[in-house]
Amino acid sequence: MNAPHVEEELLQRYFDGDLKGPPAASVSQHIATCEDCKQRHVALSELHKLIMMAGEHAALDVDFERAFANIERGTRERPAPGLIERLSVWWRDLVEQRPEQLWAPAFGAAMAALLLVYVLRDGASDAHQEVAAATPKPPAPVVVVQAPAVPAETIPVDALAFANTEVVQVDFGSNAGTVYEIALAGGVSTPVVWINDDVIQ
Amino acid sequence: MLRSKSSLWSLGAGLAAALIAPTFLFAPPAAADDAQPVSVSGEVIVVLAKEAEGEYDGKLKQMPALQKPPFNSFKSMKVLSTTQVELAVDKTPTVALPNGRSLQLKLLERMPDGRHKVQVSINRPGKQDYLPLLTVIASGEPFFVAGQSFEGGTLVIGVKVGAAAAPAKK
Repeated sequence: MNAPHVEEELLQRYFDGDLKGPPAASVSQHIATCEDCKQRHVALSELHKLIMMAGEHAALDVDFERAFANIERGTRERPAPGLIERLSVWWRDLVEQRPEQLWAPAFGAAMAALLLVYVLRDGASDAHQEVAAATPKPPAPVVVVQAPAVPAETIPVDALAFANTEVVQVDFGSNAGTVYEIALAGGVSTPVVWINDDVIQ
Repeated sequence: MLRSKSSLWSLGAGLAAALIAPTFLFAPPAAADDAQPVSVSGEVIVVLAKEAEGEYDGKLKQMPALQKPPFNSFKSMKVLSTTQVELAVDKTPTVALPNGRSLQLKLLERMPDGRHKVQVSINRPGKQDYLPLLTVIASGEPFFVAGQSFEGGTLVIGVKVGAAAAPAKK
């Protein structure tokens, strides 16, 4: 009984040289003894030759120099894609073709955000400390609760903050003086800086 | 560990995007106020107050603070001058005082709540330099600098900067 004919796919692989070792030897041995398969193998060879000849013939009609020149000119004339376009292509490719790699930019973005928050917070803290260190403290205002022309019922000042007009700093220098608060209607108050005459020197 | 070169590129791109995006998100908008020159009008009123009985200037009745301590010991008050001034960061008006000194006002800044930080200085007799006396955040209600002797009385200088604000609730 004759061995079964070589299947088409196996014969094609044999012809292409994809088969190695015992499978290739088995097909070769069968072709040598089976006329049908031998003819099929020869037919494959003829077809291959025809294709090669047709390709070579067609290539003779192609002006490759002109074709490459057209490609190069087109490449030069087309503006290079911008950053947005490249990012868009990259993102579309990532989402559609490699969704399993989405974790990388997400992780990167999360780490960058954490780093940014840390840097901003640290920088703001440092800047605040530097400003605080660089700003000289104003000299303590000289507040003397005694002035010859001031009646006894004056309002003592225990703080330099007033309801509306706020005294930020008083500098009597070597002089004596007093800061009063005059309470007005409606919760409004206004400050009075009382300096002794003869002492503004 | 990164699985491929493209993963590394993706990680880098994500880092770059996350770092660049906040620059646009947190960019401060252009402040309209910064573009406007800061200036404010003011008024300096110089009053001669005396403990002796005398005339009480009618113009001062609209200044109730002068009827309260420490000013209520004065029995007479006379307005010597009223000067309108314009304060700006680059404009420091001076007001001549009757005792030969000068009062200088300097606008330091406009506060976010609409008040104005102002420095008040008085020059020393016979000298050109001004001694910073006080710095206030003025609401528009007059504040006072008083105590200098003049012609048997006391000079009371009322300084009003800007418009009076609504009464504050304590």
